[in-house]
Amino acid sequence: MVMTPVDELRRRRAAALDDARADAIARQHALGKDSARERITHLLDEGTFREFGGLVDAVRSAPGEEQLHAPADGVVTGTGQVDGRPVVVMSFDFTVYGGSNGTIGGLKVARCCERAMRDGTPLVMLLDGGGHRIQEGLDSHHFAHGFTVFQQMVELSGFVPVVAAMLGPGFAGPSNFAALADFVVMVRGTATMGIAGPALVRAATGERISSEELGGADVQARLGVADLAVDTEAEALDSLRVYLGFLPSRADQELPLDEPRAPVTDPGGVMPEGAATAYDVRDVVGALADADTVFELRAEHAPNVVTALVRLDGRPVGVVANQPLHLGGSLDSPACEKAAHFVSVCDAFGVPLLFLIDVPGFLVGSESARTQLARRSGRLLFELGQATVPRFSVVLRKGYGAAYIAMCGGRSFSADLALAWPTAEICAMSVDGAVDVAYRRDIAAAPDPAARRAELVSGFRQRVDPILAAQGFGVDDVVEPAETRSALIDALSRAPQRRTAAAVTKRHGISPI
Amino acid sequence: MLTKLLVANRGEIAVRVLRACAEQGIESVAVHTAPDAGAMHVRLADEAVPVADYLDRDALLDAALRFGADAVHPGYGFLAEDAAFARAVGAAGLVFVGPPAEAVAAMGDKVVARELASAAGVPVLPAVTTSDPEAVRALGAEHGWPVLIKAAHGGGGRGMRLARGQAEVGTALTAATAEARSAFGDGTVYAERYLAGPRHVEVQVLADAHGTVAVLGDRDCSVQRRHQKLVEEAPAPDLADGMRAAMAAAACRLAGAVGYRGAGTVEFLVEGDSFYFLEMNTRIQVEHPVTELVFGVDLVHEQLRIAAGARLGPLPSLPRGHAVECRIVAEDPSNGFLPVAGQVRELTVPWAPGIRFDTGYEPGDTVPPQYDGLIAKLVAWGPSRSAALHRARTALAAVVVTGVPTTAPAAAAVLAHPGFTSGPVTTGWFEDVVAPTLAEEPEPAGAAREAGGAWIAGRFHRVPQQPRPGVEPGRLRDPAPQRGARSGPGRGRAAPRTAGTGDGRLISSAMQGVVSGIEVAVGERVTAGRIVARVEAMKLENPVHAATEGVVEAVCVRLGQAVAAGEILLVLAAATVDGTAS
Repeated sequence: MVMTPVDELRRRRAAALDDARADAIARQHALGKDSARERITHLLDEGTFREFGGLVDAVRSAPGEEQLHAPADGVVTGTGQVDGRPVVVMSFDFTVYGGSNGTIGGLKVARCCERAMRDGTPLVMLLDGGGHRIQEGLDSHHFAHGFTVFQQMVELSGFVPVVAAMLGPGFAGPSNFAALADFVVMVRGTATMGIAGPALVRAATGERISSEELGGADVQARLGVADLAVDTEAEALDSLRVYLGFLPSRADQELPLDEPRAPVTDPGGVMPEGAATAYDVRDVVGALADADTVFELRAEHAPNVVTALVRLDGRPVGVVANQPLHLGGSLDSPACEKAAHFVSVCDAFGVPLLFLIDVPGFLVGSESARTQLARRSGRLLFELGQATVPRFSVVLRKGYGAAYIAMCGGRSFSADLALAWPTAEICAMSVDGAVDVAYRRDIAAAPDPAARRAELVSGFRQRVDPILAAQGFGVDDVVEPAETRSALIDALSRAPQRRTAAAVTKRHGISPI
Repeated sequence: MLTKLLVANRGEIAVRVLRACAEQGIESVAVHTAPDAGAMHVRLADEAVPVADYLDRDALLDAALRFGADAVHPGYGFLAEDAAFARAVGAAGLVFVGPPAEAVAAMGDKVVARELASAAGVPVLPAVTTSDPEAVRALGAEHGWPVLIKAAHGGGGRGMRLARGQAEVGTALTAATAEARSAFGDGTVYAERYLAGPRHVEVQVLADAHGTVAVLGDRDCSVQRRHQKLVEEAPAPDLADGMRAAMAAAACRLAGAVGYRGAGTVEFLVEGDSFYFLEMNTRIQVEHPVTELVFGVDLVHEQLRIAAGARLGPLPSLPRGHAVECRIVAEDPSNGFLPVAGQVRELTVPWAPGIRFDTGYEPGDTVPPQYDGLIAKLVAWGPSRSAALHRARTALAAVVVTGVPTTAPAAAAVLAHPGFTSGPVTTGWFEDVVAPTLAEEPEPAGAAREAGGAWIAGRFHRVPQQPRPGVEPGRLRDPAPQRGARSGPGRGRAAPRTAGTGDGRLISSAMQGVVSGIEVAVGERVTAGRIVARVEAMKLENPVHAATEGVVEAVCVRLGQAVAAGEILLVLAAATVDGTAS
């Protein structure tokens, strides 16, 4: 039988598919992982995947590479749709030399970035193994070129959503990719991230550590390197869908709307009666947001501030909320970084911001000094100051000091709506603390120091009152918890997606970090 | 006649006893720790005394004497089965509402209790009361494997290990001994035949100080999770008349043999045609209301009368109808029954015929993290078992508790399960059959079909569908069925909210601060999520939770000590959960 050119094309195409590589795919499954193509099938809407570079194979130019066989050169690339939205996807194939990047594979990755830039569609990276393919990389002829993809990824950053799912070993190269993504999810037990794996660490420093301890999903989620850790690949891929569902396909597009859905709880009962009693601010978030729309990011990292994408009346909103359950809700360095990154992501894609304020201040102590809180807190102010999206604030309880300002309190960053709950206490610092510091001598000199202190404290307490905050017009209104959602929805419906910038001509501001 | 009684307990049982006092015209004194300062039992008592700990014998006794009480009711748990406390109460010239200290001590030692039971002609499981591995192997060889090794002074599953064959005897003995020593301060263990699928049936006894012992029928408490009873009923269903009578007689003989006084419960394991002595609880039981409803006897009133020296009056010999009790505990059944503390916002009960609701909480009260989270007991009576179950199901569906998750859905699942409605179940049934179905949260109705979405970490997230450019509307694929099928395994896993870090065994402070509370003691068993310490910083107290369950091996810090972020506060050792119920 004569092989026609079409037959030959079909044969070549089929050779790169999972069915033609049953042994390699079985090994991948044995590791508890899906194949690169199965992942694409799960993620994309049925029948929408169009592959490019499927016929690529390894460059066999150097001596000893004659037998190198690398279907698609280790990375499956193409375009498709996720919940009706076009995306570019690259899925690294661990069964091909551990997912390593060959020379042509690198060109395919660059092509993905180029498509995302030209088409203005999100870039989805499904990472599993990788790094430069050593067989090709130990050659100055190739390596001296360096790698242009990082430049491309920086150009994509903030223009289209860039997301990464870490689905296997991710030390080195994959972590470099993920570092430039604005959302990273990892799978527990199989995924790792870091600059170098245990073998290199041991060779370089002598430290012995397992890959899970060094860079496993739970470790990186706690450190804030990953935004989310999940148990299964299916959840990881679905989390990309959920994340993308809140964002436009590119920065200049309208936000994706959804049907409004009433929350299932009401915020009325969340606030405890005692001012010294902690509560879970996520209950407030859940009671303000549309049902089933709260998507918390970096929940395990800096839990003293909650960052979540939610919907209000069907519109995406980014919530930044102090969490009294942890460190009293105070802002430490990790919390500032987490909130600053989140504000940056929301601002890039036009997602309005909602600040739920219950902050006793910045966390004081040597740990804060060591972790550069002075600058980390500056970055939060910086991101907030350059943001152009609508922003709203609600003071739930404490709004103390500079942290109140860093949480967009009052008029600090010209919030489109500044509200306070009847439980709000807005002032420069806690009354007790302020009296002890500022009136130390006065108290010590009094005939009855305790009585003098109590007198001062009660005097100042009367000045800390949400009604006074509204009388001074630091907030627009004091509202009951149950009125809050409708007030926010009303403000959200009026605010334009972007404020027109009236800034002076410059290239960019200089981030404190 | 008692004139003034101190109730050395909290929660619903304290409320139950305080109300009985009021009914009998006995003045009452409540005790409370700091977290319970405004609790319901404190509000109900004539007087209330703060104590540091419900286990502080001296403080309780001191409070009783200072407030002029002439009797002390221990409730259940805490010091209810503490012979030293019973003895100290008596030595101080007060009446202990319970059995003589000797009976408490004898029944508290499982080896002694077993011997006494055996001597009284009560069937016991084949056992050896030694830690000699050869004897244990011989026991297994003669009566079959597995063999259960238990702590002599234990309870609640602590210090229990299962040996499934000859080879496992050595390690099981070592582990059980070590655990018994660390948990109960006494490494004595014994080994007995292990029953694979027993029922838990118990007999209620009442004995007065004049030698009269009466039996008030039986209860079935086989619906358990990790030895914690969830649903109890009286009488035990489907028990042959002969066995029921034999168990009653055995319980009566044992109570007589130990010189029992007051209300007590003799617990048995039932398998096939045989029943075996498990243990005797020398106190009022949580599930006493089911017996009260079917016998028309107020057990707490009887306790108080007997303690005052009264003789038992005539008691009914047969139960009327059937009663079932559902425990409503502040635990999250969809999240591995994780204990959850918090404020009870709403607490409403449908008032319907045959419904009784015993609770220690009113709306606005807080379930503190330090104590057992039993919020309430819903008890239903009906003329038949099916009628009682029907009333319980209907009532449970209308019970509203908000603010904290509760075990009510788990109890509802039990009551609705054909395996339970059609007949008796065994002690492993709930964990094998019902518990796995509770972990999955139901998907919000219609949400997946409506607009798509995804399940991540046990939570549903909506994902809106974008109109596909360049595709005619008629060709739009309906994504619903595929999305529905995608929701994969791994649901229901929620990260424990904990300020502790590390592998769970080492509990460290997440922050720089001052230790403002140490909530546990060495040897104490803690459940995952339990608050073990508090660290104060920025003028707010931060609870430190145990990430896993375990037994406290060491407390590394003192109250008031300044700690750095990451500094170890406590060390936990693993806890075993094998074994039979108690």
